[in-house]
Order: sequence, then C-alpha cells, then structure tokens
Amino acid sequence: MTQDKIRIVIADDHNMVRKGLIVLLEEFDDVDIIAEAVDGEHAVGVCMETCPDVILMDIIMPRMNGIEATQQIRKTCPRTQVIALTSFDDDTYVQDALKAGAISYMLKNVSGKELADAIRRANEGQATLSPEAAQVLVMATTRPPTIGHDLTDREYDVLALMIKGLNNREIGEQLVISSSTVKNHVSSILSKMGTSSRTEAVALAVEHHLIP
Amino acid sequence: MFEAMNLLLVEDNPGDARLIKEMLIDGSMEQGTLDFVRSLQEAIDHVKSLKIDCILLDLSLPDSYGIDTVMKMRAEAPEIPIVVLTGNEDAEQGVEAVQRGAQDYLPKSDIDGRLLVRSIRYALERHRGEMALRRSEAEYRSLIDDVFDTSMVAVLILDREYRVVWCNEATEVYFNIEREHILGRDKRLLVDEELKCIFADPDSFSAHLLKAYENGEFTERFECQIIPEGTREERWLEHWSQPIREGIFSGGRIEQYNDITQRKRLEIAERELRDYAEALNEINYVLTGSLDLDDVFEQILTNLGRVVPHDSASITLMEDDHFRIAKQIYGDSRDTQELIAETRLKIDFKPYADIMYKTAQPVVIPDLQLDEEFALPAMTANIHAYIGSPILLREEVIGFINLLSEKVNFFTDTDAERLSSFARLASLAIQNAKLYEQSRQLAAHQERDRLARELHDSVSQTLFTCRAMSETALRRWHKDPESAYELIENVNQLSMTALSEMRILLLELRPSSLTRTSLRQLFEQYLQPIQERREFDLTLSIDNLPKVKPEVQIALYRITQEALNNIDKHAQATEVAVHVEDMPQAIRVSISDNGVGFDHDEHTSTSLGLGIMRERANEIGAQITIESQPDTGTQITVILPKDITL
Repeated sequence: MTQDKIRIVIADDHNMVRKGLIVLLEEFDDVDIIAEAVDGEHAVGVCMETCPDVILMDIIMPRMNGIEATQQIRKTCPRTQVIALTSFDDDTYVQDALKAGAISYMLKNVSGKELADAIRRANEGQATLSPEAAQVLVMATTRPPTIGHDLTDREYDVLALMIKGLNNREIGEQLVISSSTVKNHVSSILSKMGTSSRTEAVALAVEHHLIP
Repeated sequence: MFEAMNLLLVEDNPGDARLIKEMLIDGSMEQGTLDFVRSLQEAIDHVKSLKIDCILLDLSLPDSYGIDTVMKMRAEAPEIPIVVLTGNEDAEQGVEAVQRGAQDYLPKSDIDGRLLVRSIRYALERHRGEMALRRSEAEYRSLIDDVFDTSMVAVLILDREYRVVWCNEATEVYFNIEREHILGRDKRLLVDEELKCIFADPDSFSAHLLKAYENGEFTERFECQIIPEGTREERWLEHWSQPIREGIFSGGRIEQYNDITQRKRLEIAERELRDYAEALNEINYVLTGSLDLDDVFEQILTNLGRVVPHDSASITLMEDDHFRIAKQIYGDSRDTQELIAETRLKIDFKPYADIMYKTAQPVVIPDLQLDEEFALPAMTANIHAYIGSPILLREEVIGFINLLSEKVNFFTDTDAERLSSFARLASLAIQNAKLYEQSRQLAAHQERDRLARELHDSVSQTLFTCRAMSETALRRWHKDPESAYELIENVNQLSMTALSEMRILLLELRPSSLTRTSLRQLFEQYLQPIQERREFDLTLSIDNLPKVKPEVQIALYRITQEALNNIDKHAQATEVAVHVEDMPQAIRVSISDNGVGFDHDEHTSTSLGLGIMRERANEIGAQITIESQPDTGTQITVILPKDITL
C-alpha cells in the first residue's frame, strides 16, 4: 500500500552517503525515499515542496547547516519530523539539534534496521536517541558542572580579555574599572576554574570554548 | 762722586765716636748722615725705623760683647753690611767677625779717615754682590723646592749612580712613601724592593724601568697602575724618564710620573659602557631567539653575569597574588652553588619584592645578614649583598630578578641601573615566550578541532557508506547475489577512497610527508577522494611532473587545496576541472569550475583565502591569476617557471 509508506527526504552533502542511505533503506518496504538534498538550504526548499514525513538531516553541511535547516523546517513544515543523522557526538551538537526541533539523534554507525525503526518511531512522533547521544545527554545533566559555569558576566568579560593577552591594567582600561578590581576578578576566576596560574586559566578557557 | 750714605755708629765711648766722626769728614764723606747710638738694643731699634746703609759696630757695648754682638746685629738686620771696629788690636776677633758675616774689621787704633771711608764703600759693594747672589740662589732653590714641589707631576732626579738626589711632594703622595725614605736610595733597588709591588703588574713595571736605565733609553708614556692599599689611593700614572746630558747631574736621569687617573677612569668607564651596550645587544639577540619560557629564563640568568656580576641569581614571578621562583642559577662561586644544591634553598625575597612591587624600582641591600626584617636561613652565612629589579611589562610588575653576592656592599647604583635595563629586555623575552606558548596552545586546539572535523567530514562518511552498502549486501546475499556483488564492488571502491582520505589526513598530521611523495602522487592522493565523494564532476589530468623543491611542492599543494575548499563551500559547481601540466618552460596548474563565481568587489580576498593563495604563489616565484565573475564560474591558474624551480 503506497499510502502507508513513510515518505522520506535525505539531506547530506556527501553524495556517496546519500547513495549508501538509499541502498540501506531500499530493503525496507515501508519507507520511500522521495527526494534528496545536498545542503541545508536545499533541504528546506525540498521539504516545502514535498512535505515529507521524515527527513534524515546531516548536521555539518555547506551554505546552511543541519541545525538551522531543522529550525526552519520545523517552522515551515511542522508535520515533518527531523532525524539528525551525523558522525558527530559532541554534546553541543546533540543539544542544539534537539533544541532546534529534531525528534531523534542518530550517529552514522547505525544499522539499517535501527535506522528504519527510528524512522518509523519518528513518524509516530516518538524519539530515538543513539546510545552515544543518550550518553551525552545523561552526562550533561549528571556530571559536575562544566568549567567556568559559575563565572559572573563580569568575570567572563575579564576572562575574554585575559585570553587576548591583556594585562590587568589594560583590562581595567578596557572595562573602565580599577586594576585592583581586575585583580580581584582574576583571583576569583582562577579559583572558580581551579587553576593556579593565568596561563593555565587561559588555556583551559580556550580548550573548553568558554569564550566564543 | 759718591752717593750720600746713611751710617749708623754703634759706640759706647763718646770719645771714640767723636773721633770716628772726624775721620769720616776727613775721608771726605761730607754727604749723608751719621747716626750714633750707644748700645746694641738702641742700634736694633734704630735700624728698624730708619734706612741705614752701613753699620759701624764696636764689639764692646754695655749690653753685648765680642763676636756675639756681630751675630745679634746680623740676625736683626741681615740686609745691612757691618763693618766691625775693634778697640783692642785683637785680630782674631776681627777675623771671626768677618766669618760671621761682617764685611770688614778695622782696629780703632789703626785707622784714618781715608781707610775708614774706603772700607765702608767696599763693604757696601761686597754686600750688594752677596745679596744679589743670595737672591738668585733663593730663587733657584724656590724654583726647585717650592715650584716643582707643588707640581702635580711626581718628579725625581737621579745621579749617575741612580741615587735619588731630589724628589717632590707628589712623589711621596703617589707612592705613599716618605721623602726621607726615597732620597739617597738607588732607584733600581727602590723599584725592586718597594716600588714595584704597589703596581698592578710589578714585574712588567720593574722590567720596563730597569731596561731603560741599562740602555740609557728614554721612557715615554709608560702607563702603570698603582693599586690601592691602606691610605694609598688607586692611581693611573704615565711614566717618563730620560737621561740628563749636561751639568753636574750629567749621566743621571730626570723622571716624572703624570697622574692620568681621571682620564683613565673615563676611558675605562667608556669602555665598560661600550661593552655593556654590546652585551645588552647580544643578550637581546639571544633572549628573543628563544620562544621556550624555561629556556628564556635560563638564558636570562646565564647572560646576566655580563651585565651585573654576581654569585647567584634567580627569577621570581608574580602569579596573581603570590611569588613563584621560576628559575635559579648559581654562578662560579662554589660555596653558594653547593649550598643551594645541598639545601635546595629557595629564597623568594618577598620583603624586597613587596617594595619593588610598590615602587617599580630596583632595591640594593649592602648586607642581608644585617637586615633584621629579612631573616635568612642560618646556613646562608656566606650570602651578603643583594640587588633586585622588578620585571615590568607595560608598567605592571610581572616578576623580579634577584642577585646575591658573597661580598658585603658588592652592588652599586650603576648595577641597579643596569639590572633594570636588563630586566626590561628580559620582560620582552618573557612576554614573547608567553605569547608564543599561548598561541601554540591555541593553535594546537584549533588544529585538533580542524582535524577532528576533517576526519568526520571524510573518512567517517565513507566508512558509514561502506557499512550501509556491506550491510545491505549481506542481506541480499542469498536472494539477489548479483546485486550483492555490485554492492561489494562499491564497498571495495569506497574502502580505497577511505584509505586515500586517511592518507591525506596523515599528511596533515605530519607535514614533512608532504614533501616526500612526488607532486603528481600528492595531487592524485588529494583529488581522487574528492572525485568520489563530492556532488560535482571532477575532471582530473595530471602530467608526469619534474621534481620540484619541497617548499614549491607544499605551496602548489596548498593553493590547490584552498581552491577546492572554496569550490566545495561556495561555488555550488557541478563541474570542476583540475589540470596539472608539464610545459616546456613552466608547470601550469589550473583549477576551474562552473559555479556561481564571485564579484571581486563584493568578496574581500581574505574571506576566500585568495590573499593567502597569492602570497604562497609569490613566495615560490609563481604567477597566479584568479578570474571570476558572478555566474561564470572561477578559474585559477598558477604558472611556475621552471628556471626558478630547478
């Protein structure tokens, strides 16, 4: 019954990946790949045209990434469920994708059956998280707070200038505060970040992307 | 004609006096005056108040008798000639009187007017002559004793036996030896026994002098340095010595020692300043030559000795609110070296650091042992003087350089100045190294991120597709072997792509391998996987290429990489062609696409990395042309003349 088939769009900038996905999903009679998209922009356009049940969305794509595309598709075609399908298991990607409105997050190590199941569940409005993505989310809620989570806005400002290599006096001039106030902020930053030196704090801040 | 004379007759016998007066008139001495007094005292008073040309002196006076009378009168009026009148006929007394300075003597009984007048006249003449002689002698003596004596040049006169016959006060002062000790001594022995050891280089001093004596040579401008000891001052002397040719000291020598201390000190100061400037310059070079912070500290401390000598040195750094000893180095002094090594002594000099932090000025402490505020550990009894300078970075104190000496009062204000300028250099080097360290950490992070992204973007995509294909192939194995076979072929192709992609990533991880493969292989390795995985059709033709220099190879590779990245990200092309041609005169690389192109005005060259591509091409002497317009695609051509490459 054609009507019962789940209508799917595949959005991925790698053509061989799209080819692979088509091959993989061909085995499942209840899914029908109705279109392909080569980047985020394209995906939004294709969705508006075809209004699929589910779109498999890569995250890193040229022109418009998958997160932004997901947001737009959720707005323009709220009936379409988005499954983020990516090779990244960064906590930020997982969280951003879900925030943007993706119902599921799958990694590009899924088997055909797992993917087909996720598509079916998404079609019924149920979420599927790959074990890695689930792990990332669990970690995000249970692990000790991230480094620098307790910095005040002012301390963030000071830290940003420390990363630029400014000294206390120069930071004071930029923020129009006295250098002894800057010194207090710096001490507080060091103790909150659990570091013993300025250089260490800067390195840690860079490593954890504390400052955009 | 005779001049008028004022005579004084000293005679207690009025009869004799009258007699003499008559004799004078007799002797036609009608002009002038004759005063008459009866005692020596009256005579002395008289010559003091009136001008007298000659004294006629009787030796037997109420207040003086005999030869004594002559001596007293002479003592009171050495400038007035005396003619003695003796009452008795004692010739011996008269002779003695002449020996004591009287001009003549006349027995009263034996004189007449003519004789008396003549005697007076002769007495006057003789006396004038004597006075003239004495004056010239006095002048001469004064020239020698007063003038030369006050000279700032030490002068010695030696006779032919090298005995010192004269020397002046400067000699005593310079050599710090009493004149009595020098006069009459053989200068050669004096040099060997006493003089040479006060000089900085005793043997060369004595050798130089004695050789000149032996050969009768001149010594000119021989510079020698007196070393200070006790009350003797340090002094630089310029020695001159020359034989005397004529006169009573003929065969002797006249010698002088000019004090050139001031000039010498200026010279030394100037040389030190020059050395110092040179040292600073070299140190600057050394310091900025290293970007490793620990190495910079090491360089600072090992080079510091050239600017300010010391026994040990350390650098403390301000780390927010506390001091941290970043590096310690101990100089040549074994004591301190061993002490520190054994005890792992770490002194942070906090009290002085506090002062320096507040004032941003150096601190000089003559003796740490006497500073009650600063308690040194008991075992550091050898350590005395301290000097510290803050290391300032943009007016903020970031640390301190601390120096120690085993000598009390060792460091001077000049040292303090020098240490500060050194600290300024050090601060630049530290800042340099710190920035480098930070940027390296930053770059390492960015590089890791980039590689992770690349890995996800290439190999993992390919492997995922591999997996999808092989999984499907397995599922179809029995019911549709033909299709499964096709899929396995795909898998095979994909795994080769994955391998190439891995190789490219490894190239990025180990850039040295970029130059190890041939240029053609490099292009193939890079472009084939792209051909596989991208949306566009890639036409690729690569000629066999001559070997090129490593930097040329890297530059061509990077330019191609950048161009393809641009196409990938921005061009939306469906067809891309890369041609690498080996032409007779040049290697030509062209990359063209049929994508959206760009407007030169709209896109700054930086946003597309075009600037970097141009820069890379310029560096290797290649020509690059970038042609593009909206909707007409982009063509990039690099022409590398072969004469430059080979």
